[in-house]
Amino acid sequence: MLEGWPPPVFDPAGPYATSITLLAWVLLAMSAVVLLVVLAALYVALFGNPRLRSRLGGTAVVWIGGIAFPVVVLTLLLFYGLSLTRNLSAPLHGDEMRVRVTGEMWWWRIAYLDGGGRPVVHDANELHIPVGRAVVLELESADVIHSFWVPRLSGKLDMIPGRRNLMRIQADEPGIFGGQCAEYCGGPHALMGFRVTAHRPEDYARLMEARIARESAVMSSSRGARLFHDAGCAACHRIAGTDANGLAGPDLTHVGSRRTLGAGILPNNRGTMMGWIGNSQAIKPGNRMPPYTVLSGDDLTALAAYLEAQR
Amino acid sequence: MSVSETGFDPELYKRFPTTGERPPEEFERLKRAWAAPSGIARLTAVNNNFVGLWYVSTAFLFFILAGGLALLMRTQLALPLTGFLSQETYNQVFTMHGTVMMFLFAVPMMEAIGVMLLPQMLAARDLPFPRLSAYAFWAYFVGGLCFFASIFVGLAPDGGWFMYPPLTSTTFSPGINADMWLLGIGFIEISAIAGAIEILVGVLKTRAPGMTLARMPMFAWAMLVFAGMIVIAFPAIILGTLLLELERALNWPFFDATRGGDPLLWQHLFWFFGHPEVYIIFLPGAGLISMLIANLSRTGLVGYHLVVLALLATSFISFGVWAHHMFTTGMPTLSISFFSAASVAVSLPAGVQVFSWIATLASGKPQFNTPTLFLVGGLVIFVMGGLTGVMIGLIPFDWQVHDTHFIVAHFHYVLIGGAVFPVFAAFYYWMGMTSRRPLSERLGKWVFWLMFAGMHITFLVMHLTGFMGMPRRVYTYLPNLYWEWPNLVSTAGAYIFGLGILLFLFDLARNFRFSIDDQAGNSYGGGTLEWLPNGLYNTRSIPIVHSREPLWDDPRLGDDVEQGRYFLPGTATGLRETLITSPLRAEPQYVQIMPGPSVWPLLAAVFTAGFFLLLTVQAYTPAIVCGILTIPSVMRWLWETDRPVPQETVDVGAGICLPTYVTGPSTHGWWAIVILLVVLGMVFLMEIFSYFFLFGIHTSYWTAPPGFVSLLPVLAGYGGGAGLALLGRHLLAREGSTVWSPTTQLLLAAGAIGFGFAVDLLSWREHGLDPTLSAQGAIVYAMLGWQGLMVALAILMAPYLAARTSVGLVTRPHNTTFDVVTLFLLYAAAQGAMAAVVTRITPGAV
Amino acid sequence: MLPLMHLLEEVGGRLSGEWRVGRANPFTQRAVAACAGRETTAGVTLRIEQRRPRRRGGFRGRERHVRIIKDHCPSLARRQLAGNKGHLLVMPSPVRIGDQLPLQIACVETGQPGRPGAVARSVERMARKAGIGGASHAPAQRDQPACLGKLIGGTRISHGAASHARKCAGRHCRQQQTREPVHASGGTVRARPRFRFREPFAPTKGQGLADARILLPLVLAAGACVEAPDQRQFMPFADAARGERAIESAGCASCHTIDGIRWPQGRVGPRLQGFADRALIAGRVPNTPENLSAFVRDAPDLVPGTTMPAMPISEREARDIAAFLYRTQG
Repeated sequence: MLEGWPPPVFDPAGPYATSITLLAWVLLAMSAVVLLVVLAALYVALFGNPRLRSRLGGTAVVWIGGIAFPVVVLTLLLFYGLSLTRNLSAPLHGDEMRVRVTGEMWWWRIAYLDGGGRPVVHDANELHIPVGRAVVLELESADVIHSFWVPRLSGKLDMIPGRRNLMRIQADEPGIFGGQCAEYCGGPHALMGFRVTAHRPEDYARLMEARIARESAVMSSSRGARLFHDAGCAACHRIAGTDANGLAGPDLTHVGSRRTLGAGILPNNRGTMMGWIGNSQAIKPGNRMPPYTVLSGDDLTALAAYLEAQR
Repeated sequence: MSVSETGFDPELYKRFPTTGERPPEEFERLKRAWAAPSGIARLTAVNNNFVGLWYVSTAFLFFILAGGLALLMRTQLALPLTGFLSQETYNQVFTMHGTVMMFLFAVPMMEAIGVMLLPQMLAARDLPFPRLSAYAFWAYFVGGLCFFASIFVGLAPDGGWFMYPPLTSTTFSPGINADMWLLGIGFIEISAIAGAIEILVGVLKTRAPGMTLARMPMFAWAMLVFAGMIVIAFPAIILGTLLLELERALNWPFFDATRGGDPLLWQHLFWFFGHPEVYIIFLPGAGLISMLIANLSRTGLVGYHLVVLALLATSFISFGVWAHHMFTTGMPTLSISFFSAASVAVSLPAGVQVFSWIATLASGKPQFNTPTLFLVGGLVIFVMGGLTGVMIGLIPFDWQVHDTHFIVAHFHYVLIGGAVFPVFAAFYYWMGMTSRRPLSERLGKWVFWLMFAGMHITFLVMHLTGFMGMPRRVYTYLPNLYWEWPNLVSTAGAYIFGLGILLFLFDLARNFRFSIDDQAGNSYGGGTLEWLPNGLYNTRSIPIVHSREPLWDDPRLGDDVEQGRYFLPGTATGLRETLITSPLRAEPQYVQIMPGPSVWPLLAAVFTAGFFLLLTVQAYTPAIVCGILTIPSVMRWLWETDRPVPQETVDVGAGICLPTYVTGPSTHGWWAIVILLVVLGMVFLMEIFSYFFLFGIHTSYWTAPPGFVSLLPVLAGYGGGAGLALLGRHLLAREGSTVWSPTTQLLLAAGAIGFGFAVDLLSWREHGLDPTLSAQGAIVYAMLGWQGLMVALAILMAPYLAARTSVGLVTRPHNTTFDVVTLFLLYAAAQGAMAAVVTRITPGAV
Repeated sequence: MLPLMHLLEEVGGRLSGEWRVGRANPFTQRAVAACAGRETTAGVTLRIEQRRPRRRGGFRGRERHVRIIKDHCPSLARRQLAGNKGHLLVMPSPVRIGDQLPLQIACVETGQPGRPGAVARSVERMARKAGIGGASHAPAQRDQPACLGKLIGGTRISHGAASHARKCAGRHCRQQQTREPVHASGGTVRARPRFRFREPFAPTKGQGLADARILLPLVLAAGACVEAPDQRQFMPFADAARGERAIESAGCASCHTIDGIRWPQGRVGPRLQGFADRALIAGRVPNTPENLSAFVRDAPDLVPGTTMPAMPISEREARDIAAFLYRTQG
């Protein structure tokens, strides 16, 4: 089998993506049939016997092939496409779980909202959702236009400054689904990925419970925490329960539990963490974090260990 | 044939071909009138044979350059995480590739082919405004090359070819790269519009007698629609670039959401231009296919009328599909559904054309020569692109593949199949018109197969790459997503395509030898007028056309034309001239005296380019010097035009006499100024759209306008200006008044318009609206600024007219320059009044 | 008489830069153990490894350690040529090191396949016997694979089936010379320089590895081992291609710019290149494949105080990574 088959668009993992996959197959089949018809007509026009060619060489062909046939096919397709559009953008019930995802140059800010729309858990670059339940994403942008796309869960929707777009995603099975910013947003746009992890509802509930508790916990001071503060990390990053409350960069309260660093591009372990802190420009050129070449090896180790522990 | 459009008696056509010898010196006079300057002065030539060829060559040069950029990109993407190009370089390279291909290759190439071929195809001596073509070309040449050179110094734009703000605002693109795009491209659009005016008037007013609209070669039809679409579509992008540049330079927040602007406004403006742009590129290609497929198959086009309707329908529908580029922006379901339906519907006219081509092939005797191969190959490629186009016209599918490599594949299929392959077919087909030797058929087939195979290898697999989730415009990708092999295949295909182009260049170097009178000729047996024997004056005499392929129907036509047995067998006045005919039935109306070579269009173009490009690099003083120098250059170039000749009427052959100086709505000059006013009006219309769009988005940022009382002096000024202009025009026609009086009225009119504008501006300033604080301020001042530009032009035009009057160039009772200035003043007054009203009818936020 | 040692994995090519994995027969076990002054243990597998240059007694030699591995090794992955000079290692897998003997081994000779082996003697013993001076030359032919092993120790061992086996194996060897190696692990062969490779004993499909065992005459030459000019590391069970993938998945390159890894090119740690020629790891421990494997996996354990953290990789991945690093160009 073809390497990489089925591609994500044809390998849906949730109801919203599945209906689009079906449409995609229908469209592909339609295109294949029409292409074959055109190629056959072209073949006859060029190489067919004179009788066939003369039958093909009249205005009737233009009426039938160019107008009647397409009108029928396109009308059917259009009805299909528009009704699907309506279904996929049906009004919300209002009681869906909501997560606010904000596109930033070149990472994703994530806030899990409570029933009143207030953020209760902050995170970045990795979204956790429960299986079998539609999750509404409030897509916003803090700077330029980004586009949120997890091909296996749904189509894409842009994140536009000054606007809030709503998007539904749902996964039917637990799993990890990759995605990437789809709207060119300058610089390292190519390295702006993220993950969606679908958990069983009970796992998800446990995870959220722990995280909500963590948000309000007060952390004791440690060498890592002091370093985090002294090195200036705290100016841009927030760690709940500490004096680190910067908002310019990703929230690091749960950074130790993430699978990836640098917005979905690096595995997350102590080594990569040190590499990222030490000189992230060498990894993701153009990103907003400056290289920290002033840190000693011990400091770097301590910082990474501290962050690793933020789970 | 008894119906007449202009009162011209069609019976007169029966006098042709004339019998009897023409005077022997007549032909020499014609040649002398049309002789081209030689040596370095050749650059001042304005004849379409030269300008057309330069134009085509320059456009092709940009095709090669942008193609080279494509190879760089494919090399970078061959493997994951290569460091072949840095991130910054790649972002510049893909932006430049798209921009150059769209703005410096595709549109100019179509315009260039039009400039080169249309006069011949229509048997006109030249296009109606040769100096305007020269200006359009030089502006494009100088501006384009300087713009392209920016990539060598790292100053090329890097925001993608559609330059979405806020990424391209000063906050996120502080360098001058984005300015390079906005000013460079905005300026090249001006050149495109100049060319479009030329083509519109050329096709409508300079066709050979008897060539009714239904007898036009399909390419002429396509160019007519093409030029019309440019006139409607390009103003949107001109306004867009203007607004974005204002936001960047003066901090006026049109697209800044924090101050009441909206990034989507740009997308609407851009795509209102951008989608028709795709058809602007495709329609001439389709016209080429229609025309060539019929000529190469030695038959008429099947369903000619349907194809014409298809062209018109395409152009019409294409203005209603722009938002399909914005399906993922979260627009309301109802509006995107409308655009989805329109996007699907636009494939109907394309289908009509495809089946017409197939039917034509079936009814004729196609031969498998190189141009036919390119046409058939282009057809297949285009159909595939069209099918994926229908697919992405359906909204949910587009949600998945939008901004992925699927889209990249789709539009390359459409554009390569619908424009590049037809252009190559045209190169082969018409090479015999300008070159002493035709291109090699044997190599040509290699070129075709390499390009055809390379195209499919590159882009077919790219559909899958898109399904695999690879977004477009990524400078690299991570491994282990299975994107490696399709990218490698695409890269291999790109090099195969490049090899085909290289082979074509080799063939060109071997066989292309420019020639005016010793060309290879009609090697494919075409039946349209461009294959008449011709020189710099085009045809010796201007034939009467009775069918779509006159050369097939009348084998003696070429000889009769060469012997001067038709209209205008020499030069009647000793100057360059052509026959102006009526727009529908092409009945002879008058003889147009044409301007000859001049250095002023060249200088004006260089100064205009200098003005824009120097602004880009923030060299303000030289830029202003250039800008000021442009004005006298243009005036000097115009100064020599619009001059009456001693002979009021001349014999154009067979005893038919036509006037040499006509004014009013039937003249080419009147058509041109009206089209120009349509362009300006479209810019203004887009401003009004932007105004209400911004008002609708962030009403809370809006303050109440100055009261309606402030309107009174403004409207009085504009109304007075319009009245004075009309009065002046009225006085000109009255023999009794002195020669100064009408012009004085126009001077006063310009003053009154200036007064109206000044009052309007002051009322807003007193009102305290700050253009940097809110989108309302920005758009109101933008409208004022646009009106200010009109007022400035009006104030420049009136003294120019006065100067012409003072040396007696303004004839009475009618004068074209006077009419032009009057029309412009009326327009400026109307626009100003409308702007003043529109900006005062929206309430402020409560 | 029994062969001294079974070669479980024949690497081909030149012996001196490579490693051998052998399972000692009781005789060898005894000899080695005796030299080391230890008791013989059952199921001993030998891993012979060159440690570091050492100047001793007026001539330059290399200290080679023989490690007695107490475990029986049931299967062997394919070996890997590594780029580092100066290693001579015989290693089975899985490895469990029972004891480490500071045994001075001068050199290992390849033997003709099937030939009954030689004796294992310590350098001291050989030198004593040879009266030291004569020990300084290494056998001239030792870089020739499958050449006749020289029995320096003087103890001739005869074996009943030896002559027959030699003939068969010799033919086998020639047939195999041009064949592509068959990789039991299915690993890719990309990273292995083909011109250096010769695989006389590659198991053919369907054949167990055990069938490919041949007898290795292990000769401990008296005197110094002169380092061959192109000695390279050989890591028998590591795969550099796999190592590359492991580097990517572990993200090593986020700190190090690594030769052959296009992205990222981290600049926190040192640039990793030309590992084959490096003497020390982290400036502290000798650059052996074993040390390197251990270091990339758990650096603080091997070199306390280093900034490099322990990485979440398996032992096998660590070996693969080490093998990859030995490939890097200077």
